[in-house]
Amino acid sequence: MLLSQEDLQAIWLTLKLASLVTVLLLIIATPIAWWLSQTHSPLKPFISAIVALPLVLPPTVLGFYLLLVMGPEGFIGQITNSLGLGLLPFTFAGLVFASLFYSLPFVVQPIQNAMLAMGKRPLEVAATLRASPIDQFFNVVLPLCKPGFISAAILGFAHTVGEFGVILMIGGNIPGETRVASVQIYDHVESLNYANAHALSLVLLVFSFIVLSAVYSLNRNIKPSIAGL
Amino acid sequence: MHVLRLITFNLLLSLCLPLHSETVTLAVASNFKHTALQLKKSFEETHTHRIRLVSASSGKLYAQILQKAPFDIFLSADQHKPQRLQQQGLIADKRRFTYAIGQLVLFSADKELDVKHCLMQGCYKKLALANAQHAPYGVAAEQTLKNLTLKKSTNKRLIRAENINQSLQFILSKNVELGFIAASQLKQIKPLPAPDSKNIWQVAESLYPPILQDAVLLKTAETNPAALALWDFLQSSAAQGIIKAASYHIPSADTGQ
Repeated sequence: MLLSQEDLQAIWLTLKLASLVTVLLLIIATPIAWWLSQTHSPLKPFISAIVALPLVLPPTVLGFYLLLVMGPEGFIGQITNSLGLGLLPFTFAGLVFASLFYSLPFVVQPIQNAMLAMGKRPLEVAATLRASPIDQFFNVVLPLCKPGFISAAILGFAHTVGEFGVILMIGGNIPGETRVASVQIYDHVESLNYANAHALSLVLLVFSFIVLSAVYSLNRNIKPSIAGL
Repeated sequence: MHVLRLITFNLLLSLCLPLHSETVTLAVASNFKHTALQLKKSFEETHTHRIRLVSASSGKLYAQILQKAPFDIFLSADQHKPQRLQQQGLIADKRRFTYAIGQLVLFSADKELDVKHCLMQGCYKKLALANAQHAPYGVAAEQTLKNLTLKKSTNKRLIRAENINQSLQFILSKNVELGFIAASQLKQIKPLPAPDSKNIWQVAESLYPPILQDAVLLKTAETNPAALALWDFLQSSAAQGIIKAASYHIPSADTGQ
């Protein structure tokens, strides 16, 4: 077995990070996507742009500014410090926080597209049948937009597993805390341990392939236009 | 008309190719890039050849050289990678020498902080150093902590930066109170810190193994006159003066050659 204890720890940490970020993002992104799909507010283009911004910035650049903002002299650093939470860089919580930014567009956009594709009609029908807004959301929106949510979860999870630049900038490479698989592979390459790098990359690749194929085959009937892919 | 065209063509051609000018591609470890730019300037002032500078971490450059990257000279941040290239027969015969010896310093962005005292007393929450797995300055820093018998008490507070540049980044953004960097990096900080201020501690060379940085001439560059000229220049006293001024040491056997 070419995987060391540290490699396994890095894989476990990566899965923990990606799962947590995916769950949190589904909760955060749903109201944003809903608002964006329904609103006629003049603010809409600006909010859409803010959501999409992490796509533009190179990850290491995004990571660098997160490091500054989350540091003791940064805006977020001062908030977390005054709340007694300490500073976010070099912590697992910091990685979660950064990943929420980094993967946000990948989760918002598929959900938003699914909601747009659903249109107003189903909700109007539900309203005439006296369904309350909460009832409408859980019994109409969620089932009809399920493919969009699944796509969003897959993309959010996959994108976080593959996250590297941001974590390299703010993580500090602490085993079991911030040393995720991508950073561990990078370390192997930098220290010329190519065999270890190959082994870990292969495990990550095979695992991701299995997970993605499983999800896609469970949802074979997803219409691509609704799925937002 | 024809003659005129021919003359114009020749004139344009000669503009493109200055007399005996060749290009040498110099691959440098990122921590030496700053100094390499000064070497490039000095070299190009005295030679007609031109230098194309490429910089990345030594590990990446090493991997690229294995994959036949078009580099002529490689200035590594360590001795290990040039040695491995030599063993693999990629280096021109006997074309390896130590061009610089790195100096380790402990530094804080807080001007009032006595860094040596703080390190010994453990008055900090986080201490940055380069990752010893692949960065030679990281090896030196770890060894220093070990020799000062601080290894155990610091271990949980160590932040391992990708390289010394990131170590400095963590220090300057005050995400860590202090950290180990290279003396040469102090020259890049604005405003320039005074070398004797208490937030800088020049770590005694007896506390860590020397950080030997080796240069190699790749086998594929043996026929490139620009590469050979640069190779000689790197060992000249002019080049050594620039390297010393950038806070590196030069192997004593090589000085005054």
